[in-house]
Amino acid sequence: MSKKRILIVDDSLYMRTIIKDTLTANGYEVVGQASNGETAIDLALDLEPDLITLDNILPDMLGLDILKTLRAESLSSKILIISAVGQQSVIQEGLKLGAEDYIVKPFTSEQLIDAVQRAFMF
Amino acid sequence: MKQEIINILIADDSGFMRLMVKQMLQENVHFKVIDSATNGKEAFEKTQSLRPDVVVLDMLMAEYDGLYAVKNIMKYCPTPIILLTSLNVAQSSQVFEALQLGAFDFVSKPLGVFSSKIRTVQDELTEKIYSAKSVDISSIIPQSSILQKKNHSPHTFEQKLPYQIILIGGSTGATAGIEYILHNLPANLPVPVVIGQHMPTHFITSFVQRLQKECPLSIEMVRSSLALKAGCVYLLDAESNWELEKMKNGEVVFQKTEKQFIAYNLPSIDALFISAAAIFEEKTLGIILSGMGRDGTEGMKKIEQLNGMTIAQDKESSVVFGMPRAAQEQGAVKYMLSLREIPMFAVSCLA
Repeated sequence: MSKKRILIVDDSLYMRTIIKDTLTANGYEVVGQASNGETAIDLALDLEPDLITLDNILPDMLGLDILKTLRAESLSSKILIISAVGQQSVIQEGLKLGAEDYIVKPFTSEQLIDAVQRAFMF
Repeated sequence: MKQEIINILIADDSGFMRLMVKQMLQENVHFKVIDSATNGKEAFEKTQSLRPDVVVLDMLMAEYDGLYAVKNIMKYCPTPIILLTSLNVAQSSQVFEALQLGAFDFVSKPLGVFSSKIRTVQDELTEKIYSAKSVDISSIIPQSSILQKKNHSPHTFEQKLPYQIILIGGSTGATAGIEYILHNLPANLPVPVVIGQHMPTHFITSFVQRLQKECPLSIEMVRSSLALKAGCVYLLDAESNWELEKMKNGEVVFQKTEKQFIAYNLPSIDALFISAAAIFEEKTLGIILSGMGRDGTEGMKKIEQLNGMTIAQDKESSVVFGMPRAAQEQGAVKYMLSLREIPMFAVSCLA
C-alpha cells in the first residue's frame, strides 16, 4: 500500500515542523506545507492530498473558509481540523462543513496520529 | 527485609582515592566493592566482564577519562554510573556530556587539599548508589540518541496568552531533559521560563554556559532583583531558596528567601512554584521532571488549586519517577507526558 499523502496547513513553522516529524515517523508522506489560506487552497487543489491538517486561525483567512472553498471545488481530501481549546463552535461548524475529524490544542503526537487514523476510517 | 548485596566497581586514577572510597562504601553491609580500575578503558573492560550493579567513576583520569568509560559502558553494557567530580567549571561541563550520554548521576568531591574529606559526601553517595541500583537502565539509555532533534522554528502565538510563565523543576536525571526542552522551544517564545534544578551552583554555572551555546533564547542565572522578561530562561542557583515577587511597578523579580521547605532546599522547587503561582495564578504552567524525592509537589498543588496547567514527565521517560509520582499522587498533574512530547505540548498550550 502506498503511503498516505498529507498537506499541513498551520501558520506556525514550529507546529508544522512537529506535525511533519510526527506524521513522517508514523509512515505518512508530507507532500506540502502552507502557512496561509491562499497557499493552502493552491496546494490542496494542485496536490490533491489524501488528508489535510487544517489549523483554524491563519493570517489571511479562517480554516473553516478554506474547508468551505475546498468542498465547493469537490476536493475529496480528508480534512482534520486543528482547533484551540474552548472553540466548540469551530469544531461543530467544521464537521458540518464536511471535515472528517478534529483535534484540540494542546495535543500529544499520539493523539494526532489517532485523529489522522480515525479520519482515514471515514 | 533481606536486602540484596550491591556490587560496585570503583574507577579512580588515585590509589589513595580508590582506597578511601572503597573503605567508605564497605562500611555499608549492603555494598560490596568487587574491583577497581585506574582509567576509563579499564573501567569499561571490567564493567563488561564483571557486570557490577553500579559503577562509581572519577571523571578526570589520565589517558582514558571518565567520558570514555561512560560512552562505552552505556553503549555496550549499560550499567548505572555515578560520577565523582571535582569542583571546577572545566570538569563540570564534561559532567553534562556524561549525563547526556547516560550517566545516572554525579557526586561532587568536596573542595580541599585533603582527599580524606571525601567522607563528607558519604551519605549522598550511599543514597545515590541505592537509587542507581533500582533504576530501570533502559530509561536512561535512549535519552541522548532520541532527544537530539531541535526545533527553534518560530511559532504564532495568541495575542492574549493563556499562560504567562513556564516553570520547570528537576533533579536526578533531569538535566538532559531540560536541555531537550530548551532546544525545542521556539526562538520567539513570548513568556519567561524559570528552572529549578537540584545541583550545586558551579554546575549550574557551566550548565548555563553549555545551554547558551546552542539555544537561541537568552539564558541567565538568577540574582536578586532580576526582573523576568519574556523569551528569557532563568536557572536558580543553589546558594539560596528563590521566590518571585511582584513589584509595585508591575515587574516580577527574583528574591532570595529564608523560608525552609520540608522536601528540599537550595534551591527549593516548591518555593519557586508556590511564589510564581501566587502571582500568575491560572496563567502558570508548571512542569515536573525526573528526580528523587518530592520537591515540587506542594508547588504543583498550588498551581492546580489556582487552575493553572500542570505537566509531569511520565514513568517511561523519567530516570527517577519520584517527583512526578509524588505530584501525581496529590492530584497535581493534569498531563503525564513523555519527555519527547513536553515542549510541543507546552508551546501549544500557549496556542
